[in-house]
Amino acid sequence: MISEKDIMYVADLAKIKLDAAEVKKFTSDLNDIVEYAAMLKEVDVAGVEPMYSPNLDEGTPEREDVVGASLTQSEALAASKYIDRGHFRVPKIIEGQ
Amino acid sequence: MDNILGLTLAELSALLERKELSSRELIAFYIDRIERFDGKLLAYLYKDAESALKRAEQIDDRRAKGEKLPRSAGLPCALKDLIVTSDMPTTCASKMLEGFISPFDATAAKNMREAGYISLGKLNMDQYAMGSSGESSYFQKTVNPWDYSRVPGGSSSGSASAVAARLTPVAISSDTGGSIRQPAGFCGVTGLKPTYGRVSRFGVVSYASSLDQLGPITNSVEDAAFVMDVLGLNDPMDSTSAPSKTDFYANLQRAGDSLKGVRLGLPEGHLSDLAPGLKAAVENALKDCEKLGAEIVNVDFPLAAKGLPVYQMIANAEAASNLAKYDGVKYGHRANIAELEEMYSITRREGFGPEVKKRIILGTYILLEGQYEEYYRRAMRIRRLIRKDYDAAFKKCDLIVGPVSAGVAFRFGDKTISAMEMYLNDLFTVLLNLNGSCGITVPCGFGEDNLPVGLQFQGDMFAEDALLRAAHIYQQSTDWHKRIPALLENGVER
Repeated sequence: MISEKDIMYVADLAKIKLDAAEVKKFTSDLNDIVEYAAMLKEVDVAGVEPMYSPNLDEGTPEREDVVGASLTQSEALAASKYIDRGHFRVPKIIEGQ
Repeated sequence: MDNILGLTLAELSALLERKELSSRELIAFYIDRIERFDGKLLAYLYKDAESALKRAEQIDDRRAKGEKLPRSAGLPCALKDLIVTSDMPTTCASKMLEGFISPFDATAAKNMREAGYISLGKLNMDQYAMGSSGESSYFQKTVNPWDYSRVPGGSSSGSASAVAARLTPVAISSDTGGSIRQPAGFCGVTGLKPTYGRVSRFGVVSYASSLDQLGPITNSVEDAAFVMDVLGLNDPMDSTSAPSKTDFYANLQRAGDSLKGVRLGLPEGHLSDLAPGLKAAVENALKDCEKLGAEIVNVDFPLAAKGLPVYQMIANAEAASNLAKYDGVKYGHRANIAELEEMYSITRREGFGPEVKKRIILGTYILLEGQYEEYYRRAMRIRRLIRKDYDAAFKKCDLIVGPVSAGVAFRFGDKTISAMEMYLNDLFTVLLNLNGSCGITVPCGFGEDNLPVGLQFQGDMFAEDALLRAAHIYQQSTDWHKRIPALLENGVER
């Protein structure tokens, strides 16, 4: 059983602030889903390798590490609303001066 | 001009090349339809008539000067709003990305543009492609052109609705668990989910990276093949991208008109628990395939019932990871909060809709130490067993055939749909994404309340040629794909 405390813990990890009603609803929803997923335990998976991707069983292809064309700083930052002197401005992180 | 609606992309291309039709006229024709009908359909999230007409004029000028242009130069298209574009916003139908304009183009968008396609705009969808009715869009609810009180399906709600209403001849969409095939079925259009790796995912906002795949929604299989020649290019920016393939359309031209020698596998149980009207349409379609020479054989997917929970575990775990980047720091919505940790969690509270939040919470839970092995890794193992079931099925048949949904398009907010029906809806589509191979929905008649019914063909990995061939031969023997819904203009049906 997933408890409301579990949901609050997970929501904190996922950095989503939930209100009490959402905690209640998601607790109920997740319990339904996880209960339903319990049927997966019936499947014998001994010795079966996980299939993480449909076409990468051979591994991820690699290429030569060469520098190619890329966005300029101003292009990369153009879509942001929080730019200050060429940087992303965020709320203060370190306390004090 | 109204006969434009009856023409394939190849026929339109020929008219443009012979200068019997200008691109400006063609684009203006579609813009006019969007202006007349989209106010009620709400398929488009963003449209830019002025830029589209300007590009059309440029192409007409180049053609007038005798320049050799790609065969698709001057044809219209539209993009699902998760394909990033530097000339239009990309929002994923979310508040989080409201107004966001990407500094670069997705490879699919770039390939379409370089082939001369002119984008009419960006199409509505379920928020972050999470949903199967279109109702989770932050901005608007696209309606089904066949019945405005019904959903168009999802997540490619705007794409399927726009193509059915002929507000674009082609929409580039995405399919993670059925998001191309199911709405195509609900709206009576053709929807192709290519093999994973066939179309580059670079610049496509990720939902579940090991399941997502782009593909076209069109009015015919022929048009789907025509567009695939442009979409099927290898992309070094996507490490899962397959080698280039550009002969989909040429191969389809040699399809012939017989399904003799084609074995169509019907999965055990796929004709039970269907809405009766839909079932009758699918059964008729199967008979039509037999008349065309196909042999129907039974195939079995012993793990089919496990497909949905496997899909839920994998898709949500991947979604939780993919959506971690929306923290308010760089792009998109940021809550006006002075404390950093709180800024993150309020930004995500405000920026994501309820369905997105639920899936992130579920995915994060599955990835917790202790749950990871039990749910996520176990699901990935069962996924391999499902692949083995597909491999076994494709020894007995060339393609798998069956319904794409258990019922026709449902009403907005309908709570009366049985849990079994919703479950079957997913059952018919998610297994294919887990396997990674290709599938297509084609319209095959009308069911309950005279709403469209889709027939789904599924093929093996990279077997698009065989898939498109069979779907095309079936489609050419019918006229379902030529039916156009009556649209409302100022309250009058057109």
